[in-house]
Amino acid sequence: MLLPMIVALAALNIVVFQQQNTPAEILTANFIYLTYFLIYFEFFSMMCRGFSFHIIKLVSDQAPIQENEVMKLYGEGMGAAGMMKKRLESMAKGGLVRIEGDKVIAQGWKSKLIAFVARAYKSLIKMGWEG
Amino acid sequence: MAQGICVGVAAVLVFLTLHLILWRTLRRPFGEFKILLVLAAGGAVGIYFFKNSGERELPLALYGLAIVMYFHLYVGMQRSLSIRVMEELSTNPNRSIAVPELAARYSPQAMFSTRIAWLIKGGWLQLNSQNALVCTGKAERLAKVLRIFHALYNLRQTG
Repeated sequence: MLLPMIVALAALNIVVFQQQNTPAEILTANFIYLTYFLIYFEFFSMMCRGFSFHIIKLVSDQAPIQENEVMKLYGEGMGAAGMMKKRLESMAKGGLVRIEGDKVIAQGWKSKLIAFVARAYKSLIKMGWEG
Repeated sequence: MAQGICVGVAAVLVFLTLHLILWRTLRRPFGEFKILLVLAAGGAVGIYFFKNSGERELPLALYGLAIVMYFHLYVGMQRSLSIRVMEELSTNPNRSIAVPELAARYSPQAMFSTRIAWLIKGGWLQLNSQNALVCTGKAERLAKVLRIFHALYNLRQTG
């Protein structure tokens, strides 16, 4: 997704430079583009990973369905247990953790930084977890 | 241009300050995301009335971008399981945890039950006479839209 975003941003800047816009107008165009990109990115993430969305789709496909069946069939059959596994695997792919047997181990400075920023931010605004 | 940037940045700082004060003083803000939206909209209205016509675009665009970025951060911090796991690991000795222990603390089953209860309460799902889940009308319409987008993006394994 990053590559199309950069290509479109470059195309946008070529167009606004050619039209001899002022620096303020060029900056405004870039800000608006990035705002829409982030909104689109969020929408796309929800399509890919939205928890509620996929429960609704699953119930619509299989209705009437029992709650325990929803858990088993979630994520094209990966189920509730597979959800945690998938998340840990994507964290391992991102270099934040490594999985050794049944242990998850944090690794690298990125994981330290994320944990530190998250704790500081949450304590600053007194935020609880609602995942 | 510099003035426009300053106004945009000032609006963001006012938004963040009010957000911080409210979140630290209100015990458990009711509908906190809605309060955040109202605060954000208030900032945009503030810029609109503060700046003359023709000079509003840059501070509004800058403010809009900063707010959307902040909303990403807020929702991510509040809901991300991955971030929660990182926090958990950082407090444990050797920065490690056994998968079954992690699964017990953040039980996916409990997450499902909570979310399904929330969807029933929100009028998206309902229980039929056999106590099985079915979609309401609005959920069926949403499911149709989801199917279209999944086909459009060729998304096979989702969730």
